[in-house]
Amino acid sequence: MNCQEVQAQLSDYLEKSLDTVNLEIIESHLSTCLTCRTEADNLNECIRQVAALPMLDPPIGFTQRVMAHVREIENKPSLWQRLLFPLQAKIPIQAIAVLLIGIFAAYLFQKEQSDKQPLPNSASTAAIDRTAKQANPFSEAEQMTSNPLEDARPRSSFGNGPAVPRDQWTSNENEMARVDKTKSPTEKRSENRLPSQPSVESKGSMGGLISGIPVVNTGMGSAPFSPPPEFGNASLRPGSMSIEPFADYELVFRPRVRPQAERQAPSSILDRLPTDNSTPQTVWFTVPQNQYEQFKKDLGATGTIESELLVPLLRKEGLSQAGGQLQIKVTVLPVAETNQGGPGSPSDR
Amino acid sequence: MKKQSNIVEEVVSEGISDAECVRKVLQGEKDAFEILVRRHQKTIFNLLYRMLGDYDEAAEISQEAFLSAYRSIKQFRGDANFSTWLYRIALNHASTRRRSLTKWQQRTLALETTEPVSEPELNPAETMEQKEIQEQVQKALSGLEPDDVTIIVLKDLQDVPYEEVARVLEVPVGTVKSRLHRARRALKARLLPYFKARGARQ
Repeated sequence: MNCQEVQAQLSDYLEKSLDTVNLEIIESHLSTCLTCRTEADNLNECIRQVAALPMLDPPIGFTQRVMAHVREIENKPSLWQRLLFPLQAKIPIQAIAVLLIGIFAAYLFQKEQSDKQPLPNSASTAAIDRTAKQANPFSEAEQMTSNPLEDARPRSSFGNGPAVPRDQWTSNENEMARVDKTKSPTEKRSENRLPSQPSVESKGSMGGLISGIPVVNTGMGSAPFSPPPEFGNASLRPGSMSIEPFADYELVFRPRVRPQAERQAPSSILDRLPTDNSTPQTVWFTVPQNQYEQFKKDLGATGTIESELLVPLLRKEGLSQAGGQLQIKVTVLPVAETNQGGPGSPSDR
Repeated sequence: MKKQSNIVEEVVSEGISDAECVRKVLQGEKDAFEILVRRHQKTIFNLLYRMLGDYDEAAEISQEAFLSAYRSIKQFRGDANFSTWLYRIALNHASTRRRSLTKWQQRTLALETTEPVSEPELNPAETMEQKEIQEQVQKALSGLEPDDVTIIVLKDLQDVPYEEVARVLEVPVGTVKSRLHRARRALKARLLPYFKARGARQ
């Protein structure tokens, strides 16, 4: 081992970290080599003098100054720390709070759902005109249905009045309660097989408190004026308590008393008008846009159009959806004579 | 010949680990950081003092290092010693400080080492020769490369284990040993004239 190799290991030698073999070699070399021994002595003196350096104390008050700055840096804990720490106390509180909020939200949701009318997935939908309800003390008249789902829904605003005989339905327009009964597309399709046979659904329920309002739905047939093909575009009408198909025009029509001969005369409109005129009924027509005036003329020939209401908000949308077809809702009022019946009574059908 | 102050000994003997203190600091207990300051201020300050050669400068940089550690204490990972992490922060601050000084200032700093006016640690029995040796060693250290000073101070003055020195410098232990040997030889080369003159006097 030459001097360079020995001097490279002098640090290990001085720290006594050499293995026995190398230690003997180095000691043997140092005993004979003055240069390497001097080098080792000088290195050892350096190490000794560095180790002898005093460990100075920092200035007095060093810790206090540092801590003063530390307290200036962050007097408030961060938002995250305020929210979470100490974990043992705040996590359970937050969990309970979240749970309570969730329960309250679920309660509100269910309450909201129960206040609403059922969604239009039921077999029938009903619309009760708000103005008629206000004007008519017998406005509890409601859609009659055998659907148990609908029977179960709340009737908070309706159905609390006394039973009203049919005869009490007057022909006074102001007192008229208009109750519309529309049908689901399924029902409509099934009825389309009997185009000349208007169907009347009139069933009492609600413990006999409600008078049934028959609603006539006409078949399509070959007539130029046909009922709306689908009510899939039904939309929730403002002011209405339930869903019905929108109408571009709403007509109130009062038919004249017709002789039997006139009644049998061919008239596409006449065929669809309800034969039971004791109560207001609703008939839907789908009329091409350019034939609306002709429709009104034909209708006027069999009675009196007492009012015509254009539904402006929905008209444009309706036209676009019906492809130029107007949806016309005709409310057929009872004829002027109080005693109706004869060929128009439901039992005849 | 390590001199520990009574305060540090008391703090060390409290039995609260550095990691526990850090956890408490993270939970908002600032007093726990004071324990860390008291426990490590002396080693940090002396490392910086030996590197910079200026007492006030070392105190200022030490303070910056502790404040920097406090600000970034969330980044401290428990897998390393807090002292190792703190050494690294202090060395970064010292390196930044040295870079900000001009060469002329660095040379002046190396030649004019300042020590506290009243040195409480000095034993009255220490002779003038011992003081002279300490000044010469400090001057020699101030003329070395910062890495050489760091490794000599950590190992030969503060007796930090090789493994921790390796973690502070982020090099293997073997590299630490070879660098330490090279640094010692460089220090010896600077102190050799003094040693010879002293030998001649004796």
